[in-house]
Amino acid sequence: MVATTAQLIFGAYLVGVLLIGVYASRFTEHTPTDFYVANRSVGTVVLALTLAATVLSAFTVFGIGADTSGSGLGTFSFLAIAAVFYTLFFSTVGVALVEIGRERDIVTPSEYIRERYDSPLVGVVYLGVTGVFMIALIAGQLIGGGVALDVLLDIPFRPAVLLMAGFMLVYIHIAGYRGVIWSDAVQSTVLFAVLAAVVGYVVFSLDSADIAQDAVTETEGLFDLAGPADVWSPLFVITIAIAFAFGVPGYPHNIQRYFSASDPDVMRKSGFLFAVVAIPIYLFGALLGVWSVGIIPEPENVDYVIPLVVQELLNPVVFGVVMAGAIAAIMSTADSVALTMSSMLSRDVYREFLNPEATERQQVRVTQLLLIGLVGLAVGLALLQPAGIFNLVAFAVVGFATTSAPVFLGVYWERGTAAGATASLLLGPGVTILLFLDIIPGSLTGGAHYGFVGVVIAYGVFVAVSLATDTPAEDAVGEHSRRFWNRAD
Amino acid sequence: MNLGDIVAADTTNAPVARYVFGAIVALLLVVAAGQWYVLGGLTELYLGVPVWLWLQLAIVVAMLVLAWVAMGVWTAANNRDSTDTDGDTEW
Repeated sequence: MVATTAQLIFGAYLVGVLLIGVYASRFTEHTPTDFYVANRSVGTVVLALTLAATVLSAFTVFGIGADTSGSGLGTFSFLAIAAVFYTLFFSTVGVALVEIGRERDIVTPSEYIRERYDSPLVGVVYLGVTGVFMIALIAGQLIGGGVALDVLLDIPFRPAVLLMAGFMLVYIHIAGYRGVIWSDAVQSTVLFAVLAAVVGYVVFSLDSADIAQDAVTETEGLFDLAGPADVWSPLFVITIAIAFAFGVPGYPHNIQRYFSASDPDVMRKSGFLFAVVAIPIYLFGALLGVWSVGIIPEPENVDYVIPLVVQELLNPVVFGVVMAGAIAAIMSTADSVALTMSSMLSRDVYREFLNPEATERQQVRVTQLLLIGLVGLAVGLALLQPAGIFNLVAFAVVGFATTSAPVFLGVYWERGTAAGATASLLLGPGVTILLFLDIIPGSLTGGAHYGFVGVVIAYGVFVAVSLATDTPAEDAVGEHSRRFWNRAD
Repeated sequence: MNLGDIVAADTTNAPVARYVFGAIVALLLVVAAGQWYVLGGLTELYLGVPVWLWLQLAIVVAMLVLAWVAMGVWTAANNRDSTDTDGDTEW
């Protein structure tokens, strides 16, 4: 009976999301500009909420709690610091990309890179490298979805992952970008509300002070600044925060969102509003994680910490809503990533190299077919479970940071070249992957986060190689770059 | 008029905007790293949350305000037009 109530709530929520998609599809025109960026008509509130829903994911709902339950609250600290710096990227790089996208009719980040560097090859390299991290990011979401369905519906993990992937595919096929962002707006609101409600319930109804005291008894040093294992040194926190600060605004699916903003001011305001929404959500996830230590015994798989603690504490209705919120966060990230990746493949590989005469409808159809292949790859990785949600998604985020130099510097530094972009896209992510896999020993980073090392290499290589090579055609640079200080000279 | 606009008003069309923007970004980095050396010992719990985290929340809010000011300075100095809407806006 308990499970039935929670399942009903959960099922009703998914049906509601699907209805939003069906409703949005009535407004979706089958043209690339509409299917990918909703005709560049997105306003401040929707853009902020879709940014939030896209960034807040299985990592936020399950991953942060899983990590803080073992390593303490430093996870929140670095995420909050990074979120402050996101606003600066959104308001500078994001604003420039809004303008350039509108002027040049650009809808994907790889399209921007191809035109900015006057090189189809650089666009393909960008697509290939970011594809690795996109698949990792989707896989992290599918693992989270599998965990949620396992706990809530008692569906074994593997079928649960397949179920999540199937639902996501159906949804994107129906809805396109407009459906994705509309449901994002609803889902980030739901996520914020349910996490705030759970934290409020623990603080005011269950005596969080006692729970925290029990947690300290269980794990000494859990509430210390450096955490129980002294992980959170100043150097580690700042370097991971910087890596995330480059990574999140550098998500290809976030860059695609820049192109959908209705004007630059919308971009600036929604970027700030995003941080205002995201920081409390990071806090809620982190607090539930550390408090879980005083509530439930540590599960065999730490990714199950948050669903189990919510199930332990709350009545079935609230449990169903929380799990629906979790699935909301997971879905909204995975569908955005999958849509962006497939649209880049469709426009920048299929149309550019395979069928230059492709009609707009053909491009959309190819996008939908590619989605199936991409999600299939992510399902394979999710079933392998190479890492927990936190580590897998963190790897994807810092990976995206190492791919951001050709976009961020390309927008404001006219001297950037195709050779610099290619070298940056190969070396920065390459070193990051080798560090993540421990093929390069982590001890060589000197206490810094491995993602930061990748970012330094990516940006350093981009600048050095660009200075040593010829600039691309003046037209390409002039039309795809801006001066950082336009009138301040 | 908000704080960002007030600061921005004095920095529009002036090279000083660069210094103001750069100084704020540098200050943000200093605060981000510096808080670690100040908050360390404050591990007592209030409502199940360590005191250092309550203080960090206040610091993060201050950092957000600074970031908003920096954004205002940059936008004003570059005279970014906020009325460049092309077509309908959804929300």
